[in-house]
Amino acid sequence: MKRYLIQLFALVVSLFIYFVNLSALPYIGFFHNTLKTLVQPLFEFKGNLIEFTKSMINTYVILVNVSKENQELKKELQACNLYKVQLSTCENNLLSVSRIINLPLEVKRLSIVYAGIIAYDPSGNDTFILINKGQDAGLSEGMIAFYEDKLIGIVDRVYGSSARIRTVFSKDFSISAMANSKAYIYKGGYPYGFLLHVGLEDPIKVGDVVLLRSPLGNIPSFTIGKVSRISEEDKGFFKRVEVKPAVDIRRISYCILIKEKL
Amino acid sequence: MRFYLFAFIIAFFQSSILLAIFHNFLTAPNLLLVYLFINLVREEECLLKKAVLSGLFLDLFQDSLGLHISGHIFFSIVLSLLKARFEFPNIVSLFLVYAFLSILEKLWILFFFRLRYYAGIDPILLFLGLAIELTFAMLIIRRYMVYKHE
Repeated sequence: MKRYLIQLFALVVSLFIYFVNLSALPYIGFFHNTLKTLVQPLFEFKGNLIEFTKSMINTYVILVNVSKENQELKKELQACNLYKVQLSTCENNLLSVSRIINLPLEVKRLSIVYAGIIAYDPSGNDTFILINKGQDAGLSEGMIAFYEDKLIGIVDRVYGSSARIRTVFSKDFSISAMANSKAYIYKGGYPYGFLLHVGLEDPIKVGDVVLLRSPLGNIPSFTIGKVSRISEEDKGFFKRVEVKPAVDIRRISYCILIKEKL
Repeated sequence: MRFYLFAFIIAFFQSSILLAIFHNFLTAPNLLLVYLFINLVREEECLLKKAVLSGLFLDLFQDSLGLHISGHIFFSIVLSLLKARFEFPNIVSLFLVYAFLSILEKLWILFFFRLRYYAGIDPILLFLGLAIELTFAMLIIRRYMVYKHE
């Protein structure tokens, strides 16, 4: 019985120590600080060990994520390779047909440049971006910039080692576009651009994809955006067609440029 | 003396590496408690000194003076009560007793900690910590029983 009483007493004392925050009391504080000074190297070692363990865990998590992403990218690459083979077969067939019908056909390999984005439009309207490649990489005005299959814009100023790209969100941006296999003019705007000269009888509907149209056929048909709203203007022969650009400028950190003019 | 040295090393390991993995000591596995349990089971009567000092080591490293001491004393009292009433002849009985006492001790710590502070507890980490602690307890208990029967 006595033993249990001692244990209960010790329990109560320990809880008392916990609740009164003993180390903060003025007389005990001196001893506490002295003890802490003596064991300071041990606490420093403990702190370093905690930091090291945390960094190891973070590194492990990052490596696991990178490994997963790598696997996914490998799968995508396999799909792209298959598509490339299919396209190459199409190209060969096309060349054979062109030879049979005596139609001169030249398949041109496009030269591209990778560029990092160094600045965005400070107005928040995404009307332009600055890239870290310029005359040094052989860029010139009028070249097309894209990301994945989405059109970003056209190079409108080129400096020594940087260039400015006028994006699909800019009001000063106009380009030949195609929707429902019919040619229109796309005019940029934020947050929506417009398709100009869409006749009242043209069968355009919300959700239709608007593609880049290259008059010379030398540039692939990149996606400009999707038709988001159609309304009829009060007077005139045309519809007002709003297009939501496909690219999200703020989410990309690099872009690809084709060294060909439209 | 050997007990105190090992207890100090385990407390240091628990407060540096396990605390970094499990974010706070409420969810981290208490390996020192397993070591204390085996030592208290081995002895005829539960010594208060071992419970107090092992708790003190944890409190010093985790800056929670009094909390772990009280938890370990509480653990020791309940264990001595159980030892006075029951026998633990095999691994399963010892493991079940430890699991019960460990959960009680965790609830004790959690209750008194929450009386003073607020801390968000991740249930997955709590479950993982408990699972690691019980696995460690199982290994130690098995080893102890083998040693006892030799």
